[in-house]
Amino acid sequence: MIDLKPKVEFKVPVEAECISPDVFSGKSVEELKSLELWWGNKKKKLADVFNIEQVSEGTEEIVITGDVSKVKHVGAKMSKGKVVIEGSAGMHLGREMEGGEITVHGNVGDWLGAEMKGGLIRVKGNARNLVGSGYRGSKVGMKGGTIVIECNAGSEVGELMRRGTIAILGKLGTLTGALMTGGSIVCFGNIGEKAGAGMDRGTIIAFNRPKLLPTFKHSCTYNPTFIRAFLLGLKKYDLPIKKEHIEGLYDRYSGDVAALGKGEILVWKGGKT
Amino acid sequence: MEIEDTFAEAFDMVAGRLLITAKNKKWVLHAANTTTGFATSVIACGAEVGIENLVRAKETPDGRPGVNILILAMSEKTLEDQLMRRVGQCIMTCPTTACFNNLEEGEKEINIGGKLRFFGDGYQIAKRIDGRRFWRIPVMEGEFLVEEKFKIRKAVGGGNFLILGRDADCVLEAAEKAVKATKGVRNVITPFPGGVVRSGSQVGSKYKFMRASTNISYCPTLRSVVKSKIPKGVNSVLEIVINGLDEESVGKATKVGIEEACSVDGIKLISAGNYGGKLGKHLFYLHKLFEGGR
Repeated sequence: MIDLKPKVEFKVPVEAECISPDVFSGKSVEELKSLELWWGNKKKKLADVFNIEQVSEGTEEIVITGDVSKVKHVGAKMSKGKVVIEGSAGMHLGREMEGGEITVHGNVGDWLGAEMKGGLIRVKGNARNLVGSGYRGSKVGMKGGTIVIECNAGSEVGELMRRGTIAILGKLGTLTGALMTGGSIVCFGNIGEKAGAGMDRGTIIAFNRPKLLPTFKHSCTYNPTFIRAFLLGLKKYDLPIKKEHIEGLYDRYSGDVAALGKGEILVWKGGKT
Repeated sequence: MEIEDTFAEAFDMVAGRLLITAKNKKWVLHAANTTTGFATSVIACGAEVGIENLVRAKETPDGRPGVNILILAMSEKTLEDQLMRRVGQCIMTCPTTACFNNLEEGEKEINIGGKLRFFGDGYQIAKRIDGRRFWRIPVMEGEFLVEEKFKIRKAVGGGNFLILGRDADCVLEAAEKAVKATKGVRNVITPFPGGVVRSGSQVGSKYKFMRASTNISYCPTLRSVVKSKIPKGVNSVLEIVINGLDEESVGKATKVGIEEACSVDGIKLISAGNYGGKLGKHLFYLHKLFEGGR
């Protein structure tokens, strides 16, 4: 396990794609020290910015102790291993991640898990906008994996999402699941306006009744078997899933009929079938 | 009571295990009984299917009561065809059901939900749960949830033993007890009605168009007119056929079945059906099953 401690104050944004288990794998501490990152518009060595210490055998588990909220692209494209951030993290954390696990004990910036393909990201604090989204110009956002946010998230969560699961325990901003083409977003807190705008396919599960766009039409009230298996499967992430969520009734709103209209917002009604 | 020094001859088959869940046990059994219907023998049914065991709600993926079903066929192609027919016609049509693959390890996977999804006419929805892909097919009652792929593996079919006794009543009682005992063994089914066969067959017939015909050697009414294997004093014979995922399970079920059958008064002989070792490669020698004591 490698422990990274910031040794300077981050006065400018830092881009540190090199902080990834895939890059660290098989390297000695000396080799890690010479990895390059961008300090503003200047290239610096990892050792110029972080104290690097090998705590235990192996380099595929990275623990960052301290606030790295100005450090971007940590865990980008990682496919294995583990990154634990004992503070807040910056933008693009876990971007295009394919596997492994990232845990953040603080908050995270925009574009968390953008265009992610696999693995697990768990944030104990808040996340800003565009969690699991697609970058501007991309046709597809998140394509797999799981993101769990234990507090609130900003706007455009899961924009352009195609596969995978995002679970938000707190509030969400506007345009949740906009332009989705698949995947599932589970919302335990309140959802902002315009959820599912332009979605073709995909599922938004809301445990609090949202204000829906007029382009979502009520289809029926039922207990989807899929919800039962899906929520029971999510229990392993210690989500606050109650028996009533599993056995309860859901209003199914189909939409966005302004787009393909094969998506759905399932709004929990409570009660048993 | 004697156990004849002979062997049961079983053969290779391919098998899958379905887990059917539903709102309650009543509907689980409706689906299971329909799915396992007309599935006693590959001679004419296409597949041999049976209920393996009931599954408690807390052990199923959707938290509802369930039942495990084993389905066996002679080839992968036939198994796929039979699965499609039975999942589509017997499980999807049954209110409240869902259908999951419940074979953890298999040599291959066959696509069932991924084909059945077309019934959704374009409104079907794919969902991935814990790395497994499911299809939600809209139906009049709500939705049918079915797993995309089902694992299949080599299996053993045609394990058997014969119960020969004084009269039809005591032989039936022994057969019922034997079948009940096999229910305690995992990975096996007894696909015939109530687990019992009354019309055991022999390979071929005097009629060229018949693949199989009645097992004349064990028909009590023919004892005096054919080369019979029925001892004097025996007036009825029933057969228990046991299919399973592996040889060990079939052997275990055969042993416990015979033990229970022997406990009934009036049973004269336990035997087994074989074809001289020419048909199948799995030979269950009855005496060997009891080596180490009964």
